[in-house]
Amino acid sequence: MKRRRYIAGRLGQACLVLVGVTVLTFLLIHIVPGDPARTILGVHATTRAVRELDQQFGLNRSLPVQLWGYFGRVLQGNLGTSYYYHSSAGSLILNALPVTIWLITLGMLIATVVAVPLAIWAATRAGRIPDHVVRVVPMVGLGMPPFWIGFVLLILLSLDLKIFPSGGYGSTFGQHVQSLILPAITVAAGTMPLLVRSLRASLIEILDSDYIRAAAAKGLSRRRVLGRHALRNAMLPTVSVLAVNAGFWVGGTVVIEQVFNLPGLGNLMLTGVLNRDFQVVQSVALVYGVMIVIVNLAADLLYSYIDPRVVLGE
Amino acid sequence: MESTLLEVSGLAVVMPDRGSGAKPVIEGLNLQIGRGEAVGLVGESGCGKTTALLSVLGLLPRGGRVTAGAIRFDGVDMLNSGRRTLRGILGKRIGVIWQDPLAALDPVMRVGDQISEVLLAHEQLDRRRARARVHELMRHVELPDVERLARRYPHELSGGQRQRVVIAAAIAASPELLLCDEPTTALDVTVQDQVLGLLGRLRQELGVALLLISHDLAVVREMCDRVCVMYAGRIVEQGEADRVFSTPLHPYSAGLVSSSPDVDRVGIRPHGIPGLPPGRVVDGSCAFADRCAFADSSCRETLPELAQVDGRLVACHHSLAALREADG
Repeated sequence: MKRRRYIAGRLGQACLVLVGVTVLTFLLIHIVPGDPARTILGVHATTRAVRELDQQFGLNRSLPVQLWGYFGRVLQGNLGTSYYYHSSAGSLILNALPVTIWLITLGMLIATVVAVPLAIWAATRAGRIPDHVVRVVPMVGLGMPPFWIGFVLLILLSLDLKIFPSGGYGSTFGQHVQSLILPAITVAAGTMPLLVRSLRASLIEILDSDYIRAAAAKGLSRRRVLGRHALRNAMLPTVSVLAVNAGFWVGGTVVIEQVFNLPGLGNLMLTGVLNRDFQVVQSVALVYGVMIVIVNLAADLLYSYIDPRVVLGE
Repeated sequence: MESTLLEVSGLAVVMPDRGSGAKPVIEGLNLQIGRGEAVGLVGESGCGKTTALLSVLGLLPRGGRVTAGAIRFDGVDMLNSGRRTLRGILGKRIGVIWQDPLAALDPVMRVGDQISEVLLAHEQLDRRRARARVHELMRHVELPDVERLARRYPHELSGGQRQRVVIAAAIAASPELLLCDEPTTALDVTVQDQVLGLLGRLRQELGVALLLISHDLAVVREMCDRVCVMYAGRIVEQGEADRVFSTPLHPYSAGLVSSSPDVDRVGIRPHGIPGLPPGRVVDGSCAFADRCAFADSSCRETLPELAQVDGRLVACHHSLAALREADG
């Protein structure tokens, strides 16, 4: 019961966040110079033609009126029509969303699969050479901007070795997977250092705790002591670190999609900004907002699932 | 004593130290526990009792290591055997009861699972039979409403219940030796007695040998056949529990006895031992010399060796036996 009320409360907060996101992106894109009608009609169009198009789009009305109208439409599930693609923003997003979600999921999966063994390897050899290597090398990765890592991967594995496609998303499932691998590795490269650092630090602390000694004294296998007892406890702070940084790694995909020319949300967003495609930009921002809210809520639920001491809503 | 179950000989342990890198905390420790025998290990905090216990388990904290000596459990070399051999002994033939049950239980695992993992690791049991055994064990350590309690997490239990869970896990595989590290220190006074009563009962029922580390001399006296008094990483007196506590021969043992409150002597305030223990092994002199009322120049120049005095072992240049005789 408490749990349900907590989730309801969080969803209420989420709505406020999303209203904030909407207002902010609306104001930002309207304040930035540049006008959709002018972009569509080109620099040589007459002022009259531009004004007519403005009127058609409703852009001649005052900002508050436009904002109010936009809210009304969004609440009815209508995200507006793209000025540029002449199709509804909603259907554009529905096409792009799976690409981004797969990119993030695959990236997180790769990051976890790499980070967990590395963190265990380092933590069980704390203070020795493997530990120092694991502490330093991912930091180098964190220091490199994701788009740069993406370029390096592209040049090495796509252009030189021709193992992966150099961009695009393909049309079959197999091609999708192939196209997602390099971008997902790039996403992982940005997240993995945080994961390793956080996991390693909590593992080192936990490996010296009484309950780990007690578990070892039960004659349990090393795998069980590490996996069932140490790792599960060490995951807790890591889940928080990941959730807190959700904005950072979700935002990172915008650039990464651009580098690999993936037709995801980030790509939609960037072309939208360049074309002054207001409806698309606002709607994508809203979707990003929803994604981050969901990630944070999921992290809270996961946390309370792993740690029975955490009671949601207290 | 039929045969020796645990034999620690000449054990030396160092622990990490910020200043010098490693400091010796146990030196020349000899300890035997026979099958079914109960041995107490007493001394102030920091004298090496818990370190000795962790050495037996091969679970010294990071940076701690055994530098000399041997530990044999029923003939098995505990210091040089492979992980697999040790795993077959830990949990199965040696159970451990820890000082702080809240810290010794995994906070994110149901208590029933923490008992059953011992069974699953050492006995060929399917999950359902293991669960039945867990309930049986929990009833055996006098836990109430076991089906429900087994599904609880450690933080949902009381201190006494937690320690009973730890005990249930320790005895799950019917061990031959129980190592108890201050099993009642972290508990409420009223619960302490119950847990001690339970330990005594289990010992009789299971015929298990016991190494009992404790501050509480009365408990050791009641539960143990023999007692070792440790000071600064060395045993300073060893003998039958009754005799050591009624007529201590080492000034430190005497100090411990007079520091502990005694219900038979209401109104007499226990007097402590002045000063603090060194917290490490001292060489070339008696480690207790600075706090000892009987110390003279010989105590500060040569380390007293453990020697047979009056049917027990004492490491003192001025063992109180002589003084008692002089008193008449």
